[in-house]
Amino acid sequence: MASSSNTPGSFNFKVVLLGEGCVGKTSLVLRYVEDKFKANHVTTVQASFLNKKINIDGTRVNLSIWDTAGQEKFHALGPIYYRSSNGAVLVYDITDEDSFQKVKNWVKELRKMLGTEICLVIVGNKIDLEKDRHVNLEEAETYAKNVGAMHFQTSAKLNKCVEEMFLALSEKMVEANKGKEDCNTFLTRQNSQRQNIAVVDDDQVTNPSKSCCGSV
Amino acid sequence: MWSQYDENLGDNLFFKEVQHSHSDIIEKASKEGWIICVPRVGTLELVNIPIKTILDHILVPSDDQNYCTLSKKHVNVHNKHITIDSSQLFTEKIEILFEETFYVENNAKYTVWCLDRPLFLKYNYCNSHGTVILENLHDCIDFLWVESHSHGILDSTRQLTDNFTHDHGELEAESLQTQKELIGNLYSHCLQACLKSEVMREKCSKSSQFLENLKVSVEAYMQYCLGRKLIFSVNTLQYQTDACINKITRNANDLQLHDLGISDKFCDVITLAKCELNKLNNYITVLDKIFCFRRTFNIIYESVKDAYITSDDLLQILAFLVAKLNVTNWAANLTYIKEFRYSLLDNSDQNSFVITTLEAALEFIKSNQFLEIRNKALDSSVHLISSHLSVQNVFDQIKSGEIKKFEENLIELEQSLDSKLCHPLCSCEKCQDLTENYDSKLGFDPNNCNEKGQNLLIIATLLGNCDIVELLLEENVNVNFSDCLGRTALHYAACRGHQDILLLLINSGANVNAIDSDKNMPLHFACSNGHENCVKGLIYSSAEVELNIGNFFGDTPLNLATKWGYLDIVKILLENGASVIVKNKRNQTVVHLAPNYYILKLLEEFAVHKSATVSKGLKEISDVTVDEKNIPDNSKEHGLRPKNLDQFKKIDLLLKAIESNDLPLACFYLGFSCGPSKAVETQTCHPLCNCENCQNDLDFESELIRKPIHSININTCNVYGYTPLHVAAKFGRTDILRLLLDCGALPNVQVYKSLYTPLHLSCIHQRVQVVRELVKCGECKVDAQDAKGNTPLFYACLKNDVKIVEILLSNGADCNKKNFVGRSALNESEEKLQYRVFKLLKNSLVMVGGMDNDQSIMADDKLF
Repeated sequence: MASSSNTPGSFNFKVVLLGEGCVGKTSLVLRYVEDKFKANHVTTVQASFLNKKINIDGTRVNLSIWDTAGQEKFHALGPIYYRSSNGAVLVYDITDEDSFQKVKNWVKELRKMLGTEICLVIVGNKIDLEKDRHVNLEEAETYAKNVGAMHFQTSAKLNKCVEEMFLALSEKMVEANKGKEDCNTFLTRQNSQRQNIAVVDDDQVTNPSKSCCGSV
Repeated sequence: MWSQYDENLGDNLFFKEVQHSHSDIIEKASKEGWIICVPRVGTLELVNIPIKTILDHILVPSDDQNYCTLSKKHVNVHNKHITIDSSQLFTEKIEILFEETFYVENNAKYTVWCLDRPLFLKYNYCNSHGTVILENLHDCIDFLWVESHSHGILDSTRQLTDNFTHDHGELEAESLQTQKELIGNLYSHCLQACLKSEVMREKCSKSSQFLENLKVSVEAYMQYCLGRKLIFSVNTLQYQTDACINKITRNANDLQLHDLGISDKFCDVITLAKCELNKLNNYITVLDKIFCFRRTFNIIYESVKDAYITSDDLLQILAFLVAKLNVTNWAANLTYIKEFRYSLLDNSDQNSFVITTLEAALEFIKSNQFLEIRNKALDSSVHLISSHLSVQNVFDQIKSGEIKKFEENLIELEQSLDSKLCHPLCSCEKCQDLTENYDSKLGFDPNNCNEKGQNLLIIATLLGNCDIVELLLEENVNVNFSDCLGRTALHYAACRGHQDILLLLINSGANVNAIDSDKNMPLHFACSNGHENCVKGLIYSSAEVELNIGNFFGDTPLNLATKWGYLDIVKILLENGASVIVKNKRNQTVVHLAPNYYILKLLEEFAVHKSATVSKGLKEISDVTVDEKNIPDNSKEHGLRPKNLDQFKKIDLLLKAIESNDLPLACFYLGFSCGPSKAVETQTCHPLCNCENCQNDLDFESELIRKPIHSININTCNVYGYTPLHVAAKFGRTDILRLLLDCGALPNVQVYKSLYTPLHLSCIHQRVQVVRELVKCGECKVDAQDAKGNTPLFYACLKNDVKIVEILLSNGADCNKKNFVGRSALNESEEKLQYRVFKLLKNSLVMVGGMDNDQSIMADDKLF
């Protein structure tokens, strides 16, 4: 019932977290959302859906951060999770070259499915393990630049750069959505949502035959 | 998890005051990490907020859970609640509704907590209903009642929905889009009716939160008034998807937690979650359904300590729940929740996350991955534990389907035994031991069971290994052996949908009405698991099959098929006389259980017109007899007419089986034991050979001849005069055709009206193999003429099929035979300029030496 957000100058953004199994995306988002509370306030934590409200110079942003099912057998379900999202956080582990490849695949898929509507941020996590680095920083940054994504290096463990990353993403999403009509009326919202779904579904039909299921 | 409450703090009077008059505090807060607490809107409506109260609401962290206000009071924070120090006279817990982080210039930031009510102000705050969070129907009705101080709104909504129900009697016949629009219109009417009240209008203009709540509650109450009608029509829209999901989940009944990769720590919580989610269909409104899901999720969240629940965990657990629960309309529920939400439209909030997870779980269940997991689980659920290792081997061999090796082993054992014994009939101690060992090694004793009491036959059935079942039946294993649950192999064949095994078992005398410990018959299993082929197999194979027996819960097969929404099976059962008035133990007839419009209509039709349809069916037969009188009735030229309604049905089914190339089923209808293909294909070693193999073949043949009484004659025809041979010829089912010919099917029978013989049909449809088989058969008339006088050769020429023409000619077909308008095959090919065919025909004429047609010679000159 987060409905007062319909007022101008306030946004509801859906952000999906994507990345291979143990790149630390869960710790990343928990660090961001639950940091203050982790030790003392919260007895149980669910990492699949988290909410964070921020206020950037008077602009209210309500971030709904969705973790996606990461196991290989759930790969085909990706579109159900990331459709109609405003931003995506693509996490790789700087010590794991493969995880960076996965990020590249995700970027391709997202761009194909959602076009440029979605703001991407590529995150190299675990910089506390700098000595084991296997992903070249320059290469990652160049790649991010080429696909129009932001690039950050974080450490969930040391709480480095996590908040900055989400803040930058939020600012970018605000910027991307400011041009649009602030007061989304009942009908247009529904319609735009409907369109989104339709587009994704169409792609989804063609996609699995090509790669998703075929390769499994 | 945060509460769903939200408000724009920029509009909060208390926060405004802090921002404007105490910017020094904010500056300090961002530097020192102080937390500013803000009571939610409407709870603190003082015109001038005293500085003391503000200082009370600024928290300075001291250590872990303890905070100190600027006014030097101590508070504790635990699990999203602020507890005011117990040294005070009262202790109270105040909920932190949400946290908001404010970013200001120069990378500074401070945190604000929105509180349910002010701190340290016990009596001095007011509570306005405008901010209540509505979570279920009960809240909504309360809200409408209390806020309007009357039941006016409830009444007007009820009135409007009643009118709507009256005007749209058949909502389920509309498309989803139309349904949405209709209900959407109704919703806005209801809302308008609410806003006619002055009090409500005033409250709405005061608070946007109030308006939202009003919308939510009007929608919920409207859905409640519409009752089951709306979900019923959504069921109707989604009936195919639901039947499909149900079939998958019913057949995944043996699925265990670890099959889906769910960790054991969830074991207990899943039972709780099951109880909660099973109530899903007790709720009518979207709001309640979502609430039900959220409670289920919360149960899961709260189950584990010190661990994170990821989306993967959630998805797996939900998929497991969907597979196990007694809910029959998942897809409809999903559509209902997604499409009939008018007032809750945020597609990023937690509710939509819940819905998305459900959608993903359903999608996963429909996927191939789930199918693989299920099949693996089914196979591994067959426990192959036994005391003898050798028996284990046999089981394993059965499991891997190595039938040859299995047979070899038998022979080998037998031989090795013979060589070891002192003399064939020796009974000394050593030999006794050997023979005993041999018996146990063979493991062929039907009493050899695993820990579930399943014998080899049941295990082979479970694994769907038809060859082994056949082998076992030949060894005279007890067909009606039942396991610990009282289930026979036939139960399992019906349950798993193995039609071939099912027919084999029935043919070997399995009891079709056997009941297990829950009083389920095989038909019950076939119906609830959605195996249409097995339902057909059971009903058509045996006259004794009981359709109207209830199981332990009093549910008949028709009830089960209806409940899970298998329209086709319901149809078959009704057509074969299943009763619609039997009540189960909950006193429901099948009409109560009907989940959607199509099934309900079908049931109602049968309830009303049952007697009428039966008499109509009989009438059809008499119509046919009348028809036949117009056609010269020559039993030698046409197939045999079926004698009664039952046979009519059977011949249609048989022809269908042949059409779909289903050899075992066709054999079954004809009353042959399975495997005549083997009998036909395998050759005896020499004509008088007596070896085991040949003996078996002979047995088969003798069985072929010995037809059960209830099977139909091989030359029976359907309403149009098509015999099995015709259909086999038409569709090129060579194996079946060969079998039919071997079993005495007449090759020259004609269909009614067009008078086609099988050979005609095979030429028309260019079935080369079939033509070859037919002409081989001695009695086949190659030059048979149909109603127009055309020969098979004529049709072959029309189709320009060189191969068939060649075969026909080599079997003495006459290319000059004229049809009733005076045209021959030769004329036809000449006119159509078919060089190769024409050449063939000419050659045949030369060979026969009957070339007496000048015209054709001239034509020849012209052409070449």
